[in-house]
Amino acid sequence: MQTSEVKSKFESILNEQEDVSTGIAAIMTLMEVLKHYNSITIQGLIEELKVAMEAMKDTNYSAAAITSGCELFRRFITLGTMDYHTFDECKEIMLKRGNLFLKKLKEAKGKVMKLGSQFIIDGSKILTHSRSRVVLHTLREAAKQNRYFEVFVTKSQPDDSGIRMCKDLTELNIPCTLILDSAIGYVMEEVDFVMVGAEAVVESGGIVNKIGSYTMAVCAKAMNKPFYVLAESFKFSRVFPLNQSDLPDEYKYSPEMRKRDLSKEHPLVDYTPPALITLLFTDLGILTPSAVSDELIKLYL
Amino acid sequence: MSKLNKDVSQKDVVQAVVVAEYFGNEFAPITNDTPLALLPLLNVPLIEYTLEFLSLGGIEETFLFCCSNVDTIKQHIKKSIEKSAGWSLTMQVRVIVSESCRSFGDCLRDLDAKGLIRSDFVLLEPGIVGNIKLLPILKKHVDICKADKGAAMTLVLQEAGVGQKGRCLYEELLLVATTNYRVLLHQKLGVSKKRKIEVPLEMIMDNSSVNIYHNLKDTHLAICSASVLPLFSDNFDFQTKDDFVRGLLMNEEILGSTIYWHRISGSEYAAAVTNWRMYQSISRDILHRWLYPLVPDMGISSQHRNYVHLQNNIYRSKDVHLTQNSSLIEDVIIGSGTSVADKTNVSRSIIGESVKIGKNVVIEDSYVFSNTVIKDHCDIKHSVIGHDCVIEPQCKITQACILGDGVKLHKKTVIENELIQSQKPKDELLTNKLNEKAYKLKIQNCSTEISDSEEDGLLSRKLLRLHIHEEDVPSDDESFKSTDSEDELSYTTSPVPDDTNLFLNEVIDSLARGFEDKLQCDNLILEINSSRYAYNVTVKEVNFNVVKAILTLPFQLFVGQAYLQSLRLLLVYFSPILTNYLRNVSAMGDCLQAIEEFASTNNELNECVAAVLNWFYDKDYLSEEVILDWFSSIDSNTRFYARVQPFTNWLQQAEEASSSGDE
Amino acid sequence: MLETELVDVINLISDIRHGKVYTSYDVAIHTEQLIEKLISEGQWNTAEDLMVLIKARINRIMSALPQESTPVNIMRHILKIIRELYDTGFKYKSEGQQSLHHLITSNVDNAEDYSKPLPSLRSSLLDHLAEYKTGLELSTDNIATQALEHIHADEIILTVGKSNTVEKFLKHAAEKRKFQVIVVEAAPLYHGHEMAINLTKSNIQTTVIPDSAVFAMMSRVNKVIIGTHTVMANGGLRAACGVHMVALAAKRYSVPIMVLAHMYKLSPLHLCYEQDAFNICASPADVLPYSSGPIINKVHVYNPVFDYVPPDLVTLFISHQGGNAPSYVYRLLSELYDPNDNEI
Repeated sequence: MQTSEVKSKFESILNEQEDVSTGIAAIMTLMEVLKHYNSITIQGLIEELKVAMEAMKDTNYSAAAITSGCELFRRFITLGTMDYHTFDECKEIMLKRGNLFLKKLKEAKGKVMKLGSQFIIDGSKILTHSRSRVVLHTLREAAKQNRYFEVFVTKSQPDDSGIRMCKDLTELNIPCTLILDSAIGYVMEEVDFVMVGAEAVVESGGIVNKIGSYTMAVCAKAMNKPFYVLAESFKFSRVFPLNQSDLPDEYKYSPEMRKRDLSKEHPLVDYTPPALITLLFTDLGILTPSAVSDELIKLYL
Repeated sequence: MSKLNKDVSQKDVVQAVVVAEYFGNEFAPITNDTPLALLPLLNVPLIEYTLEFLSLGGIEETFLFCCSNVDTIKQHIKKSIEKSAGWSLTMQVRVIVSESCRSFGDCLRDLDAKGLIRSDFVLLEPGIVGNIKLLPILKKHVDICKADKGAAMTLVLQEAGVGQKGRCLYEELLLVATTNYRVLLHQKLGVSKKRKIEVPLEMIMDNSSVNIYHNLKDTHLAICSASVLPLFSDNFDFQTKDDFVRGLLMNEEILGSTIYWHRISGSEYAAAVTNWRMYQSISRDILHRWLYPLVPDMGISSQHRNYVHLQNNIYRSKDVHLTQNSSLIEDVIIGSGTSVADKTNVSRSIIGESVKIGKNVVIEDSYVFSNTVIKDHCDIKHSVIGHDCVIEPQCKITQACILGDGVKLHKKTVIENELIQSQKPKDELLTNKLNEKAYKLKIQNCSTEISDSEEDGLLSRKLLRLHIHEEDVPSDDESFKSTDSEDELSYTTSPVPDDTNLFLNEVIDSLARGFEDKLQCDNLILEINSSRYAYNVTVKEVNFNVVKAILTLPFQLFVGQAYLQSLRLLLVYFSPILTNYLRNVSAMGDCLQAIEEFASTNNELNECVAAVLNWFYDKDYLSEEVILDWFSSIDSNTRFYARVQPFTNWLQQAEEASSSGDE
Repeated sequence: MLETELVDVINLISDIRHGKVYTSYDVAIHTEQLIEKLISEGQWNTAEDLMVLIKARINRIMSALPQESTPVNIMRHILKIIRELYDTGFKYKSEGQQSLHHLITSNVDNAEDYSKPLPSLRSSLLDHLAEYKTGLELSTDNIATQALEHIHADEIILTVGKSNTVEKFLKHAAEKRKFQVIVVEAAPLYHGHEMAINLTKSNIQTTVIPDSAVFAMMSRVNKVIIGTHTVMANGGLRAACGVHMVALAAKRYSVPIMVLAHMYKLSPLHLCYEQDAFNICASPADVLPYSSGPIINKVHVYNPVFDYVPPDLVTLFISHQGGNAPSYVYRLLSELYDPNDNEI
C-alpha cells in the first residue's frame, strides 16, 4: 500500500466511524496493510507496517495514540509469528488473530465505562478536560443508571474541544458548565474529583494528554482532590518521559507545526507524572500508577 | 431448624411471651385492616423489630399471643421464616391464638391455663422495640429470686430526661424503690391529674434509705417469675400490667409478692409503640441509631441490605429515583421503588416503598406508607398516610391527620386534624363523607370505644394527640406559632432577651454619638449593621430597635425640652437611617410595634403619638394600609387607642375623599 | 439459589451479627471451616459447580455485611486456589492474571471453562485448605516474629485502641528489648484501656493518652504501629475511627506508620468515594447518653466506627510474608486473587 493510500484509509476510518478512537483506527489501518501485503517475508511486512505507521503519524491526529496502538500491534505480530510452514498460512493466522485482538480492544471501552461509572455517586461534581470519548461514555453510563451529578468542562484551547464536549453532555441531559482553561484553580475547590481521558499512558504510570491536563493535576493535588484517568490498555505506550521537554516532538506538535520554528509553537499535549494520578481505570481493572508500569514491563520484557 | 428444636426441648430454654394484641383503637383507622404487629415502622413490620430484638437478646423460644387478625400474623411469621429472617435461626416462634381474650390480663390467664411456661420468662407488651441484652437481666432476676422468694417481676426501665421526646407524656412515671432495687411505689402520673405526689410515710420509715425517681421511662418490658401467671389467674381484676404492679404493691402482704426493677444503661434502648406520639419518637430514635444494630441500613431481620445511611440521618434505598432539585433535608428514610419529582422537599419523614411523589410537594414530620401516590403541589405536615392512598394535586393535610389505607382525596382538599378512612363506617350518623373513598371519623366517637378503664384520662389523652406533632417538634418554628397565635407579638411584651437588649443599647449609643458629632448617617447604618451581626439579632429586631432607639433619644440628648420638638429634629436628622430600614410592609409593622410599645411605657410619646405617626406617614415611611391594619389590631380600651384614633379617622376620611374625588 | 442451600452462610452471618464471632481472626477461622465443609460435604462435581456455590455465598455475605470484608476475601482467595488447581490439573499454563501480555498472547478467546470433572480436585483442595488453615493460625505469630526488626531498644511506640495482632507484636519485642508504648485510648469505646492493661502485664512501660493528646505526643514518638480492619486495593485503610487523625499527625512529624495486616485483610475493592456507605455509625449512646434530656431532641449525634486512611499516609504494611509498601499492595492482590473474581 502506498503512503497516501494508508493516510486516506486511516482518515476515512476516523471520519466515517464516529465512535472509533485514534488508536483503534490506526490498528484497523494496519490490518488493511496486512491484508493487502503481497510479498512473502516477515521482515518485509514489519518494514511495511513501520512505513504505514510513519505515514499515519504525519496526519493531524494524535501521534501519541497512533504510536501506542501501532507498537502494540507490531508487538503482537512479532509474538505471533512462530513456526508456520508457509507465509500465507502465517498471514492467515495473523489476520484471524488480528481481528480477535481488535474485537477485544473494542470491548475495552465498555469495561472502563463500567469501572469508572461506579465512582460517580449522586450529587458529585466532576471536572473534566477537553473532549474524551471514554469520559463522555462513562458519564453517559452513570446518567443512565439514574445518578445525578454535575460536570465542569474546560474550554480547552487551542481547538476548543471542550465546547463540543459540553454540547454533547447537554444533549444527554447532564448538567454541565463550560469553564475557561484559566479557571481550573477557581472551580477546583467545589469539585469532588477530576476525571480525564488520556492519549497515551507511559511507562512511568503517567499519562500524555491534551495540553492543560498537567495544570489540572497539579491543581487537584494541591487541593487534595482525586485525579482519575480513564484509558483503555491499547493506549499504553513505551516511552518514559522525564519531563515536559523530554516528550517526543511528534507527540507535541502536528506535522504542520513541525515544519516551522518549534520554539514559537504551542505544544498540543503535556505529560502528567504518576505522582499526581490517583487511579487509572483500564480494561485490565482499576490500577494504581505503579501497577501500570508493571503491566508494561511485563509486556515488553 | 428441626435439629435445633430437639436440642432445645432437652434443656431449660429461655422463653419470652409477646402479647401481640393491642386492646384499643388508638391507631384507627390505620389498624382497621392491619394488626398493630404489622404496622410498618420505618418500612418494616413492627413485629420484626420485636422478634429480632428477642433473638439478639438471647431468647430461644417465643410465644406470640394473638386474638384477632390471626391469619395475617401467622402468614407473616411463616413468610419470614421462609425468608430465613435473622431471628428464625436462633429462636423458635409459636403463635398462640385465643380469640376470646379481651385484655392483656385475659391473655396471661389463658397462657396460664395452657401451661406452656415452665420457668422465668420475659414478658412483652405489644409493640416493643429494643436492643437490650436480656440474658444478664434474666440472671439478675434469678439471683434476686434466690434472695427473695416472693420476687415476681423485674420491671425494665430506661433513664430518660424530662422533656425528652422518648418519654410518653401520659406515662410519666414516679418510682420509689429501695437501694437494692425493690419497688415500693410505682405510679403512672399521666393518668392522675394531681399536682402533688404522696409518698406514704411508712415507706420512708420502714426503709433505711429509698430512692425516688422521676427520670425513668417505661420500656413495657418485664422479667417474670413463673408465679406471675397464677397471680393473674387468681386476680380477675388485673387487666393490664400496670394493674398487676399496682395490685401487687398495694396488697404486698396478702399476695406475698414483690417487684424489682432494672435500669438499662449504655447503648441499650427499648420502648413500646403505644400511641402515635410514641410511634413518632421511636421512629426518630431509630433513625438516630439508638436501636443499633437494629437500624435500617443493616437490615432489621433480613440479611439483605436495602438502605444506605447518608449524612443528616438520611436513609435511602438503592433504587430511589431522585432528581437534582428534590431535596431530602434530615431524618428521612425513603423506601425502594419510590420516586420523588422536582422541587420537592422531604424532611423528618418516613416514606414507604413504591411511593410516587409529585413536583413541589412539601412533606414534613409525616409518615407515608407504601404504594401511595402524592401528586403535585401537595402539603403534608405532621400526618400519617396509609397504604395505597391517592392524594390529588394541591391537597393540604396538616395537624395530625391520619389517613387509613386506600383513601382517595380529591383535588384541593384541605384537612386538619382528622381521621379519614376509605370505607363507609357502619355507624352512619357519626360520619362525614368527603367522597366515595374518604370518610371522616369523629374523634370523640373513637374515644368512647377505648377500653372502659381510665375514663378520666381520656380527655387529656385525646387532646394530647391533637398536639402530638407540634409539641414534639420544637425545632419547627412554624408549628410553634400555629399553636399559639399570640406568639408573634410576644417579644414586645415579654422581657427582651439579653442580646437584643445589648443591641438596643449599642444602637442608642451609636445614634447619640452620631447626632452629637454630626456623623454621616451612612456610617451609622454600617455601625448598626455590624452590631447586628455581633449580637446575632434578626432583621425584625433590628427594625424594631432602631425605631425604638430614636424614640428614646430625646430623653438622653435634650433633657428637659419638649419631647415632640426634639424628636422631630432627630427624626429629620436620622431620616436616611429610617429610609434604609423601613423598606417594606413588614418593616413598617415593626416600626409601628416599636411606637406602640414605647408609647405604652412612656407618657410623652403617648401624648403626641398622632403627630409622630403623621410625620412618618407624611414622609412615606409608613403606608396607609399598614397603619390601618395595625390600628385594627390594637386593644380599643387603651388610652393609646384613643390617642391614635383621630389620626386614623382622618386617614380613612382622606381616603374616602380621594376615592370620591376620583369619581 | 434457594435459601435452604445457604444455611451455613446464613448462620455465619447471624453469628457475626449477634457478636458470637467477633474478632477478625475468629471470622477467618469460621469462614475457612465453612468452606472446608462445603468442599468435603457439598454437592458438586466440577470446579465450576463449586465456584458457583462459593460465589453465591460471597454474594450473600456482601449484601448482608458489606463492611465485613474478611470472609469475602478468604472465599475469593479460595476461588483462586480452585482455578489454579484446575489449571494445573489439566496442564493449562497457569497465566491467571489478566495482563496486557495475556491479552495479546492468548490464542483463543479465553472463555473460562471449568466444567470438566477433575476427580483429584476435592482431595487436593482439602490439602490446600489444610495448609491455608495452618497459615491462618500461624499468621499472628509470623507477624509477631518480625517485631525485633522494627522495634529497637528505648524507642517510643504509639498505638491506637486494641488489636490482638499489635498486642502480640509488642509483647514479642518486649521479650528481648526494653521500650515504651503510648496507647491512645480511642474514644468512645476506650479499648485502649484494655490494651494498656494487657501490655503492662508483660512489663511493658505503658502510657495511656486521650485522643486529643496525639498531636502533642507525636513529636517524641519513634514509630506508630497499628492494626486495621481492611486494606483497600489502593493501599488505603479502613481502620478504627480516629486512626486517620493519628496518621496525619504522624505524617506531620514524619513518624513512620506500620500497619500490621493479615493477608485476609487485603481486599481487592476500591473505595468508591462513597464515604458514607463505606462507614457505619453505631449507637450515639457512647457519645451522648440517652438520659441527657431535651438536648437529644435537637441534635444529630454521629458515632462512626471506621476511618478511611489514604495510602500516602501509610509507610509500611507488615504481613506474615514481611513488609510491603502501600504502592506494592496491587502485587499482593494479584498473588492472592484472580482478577476475574474481583466482581462477583
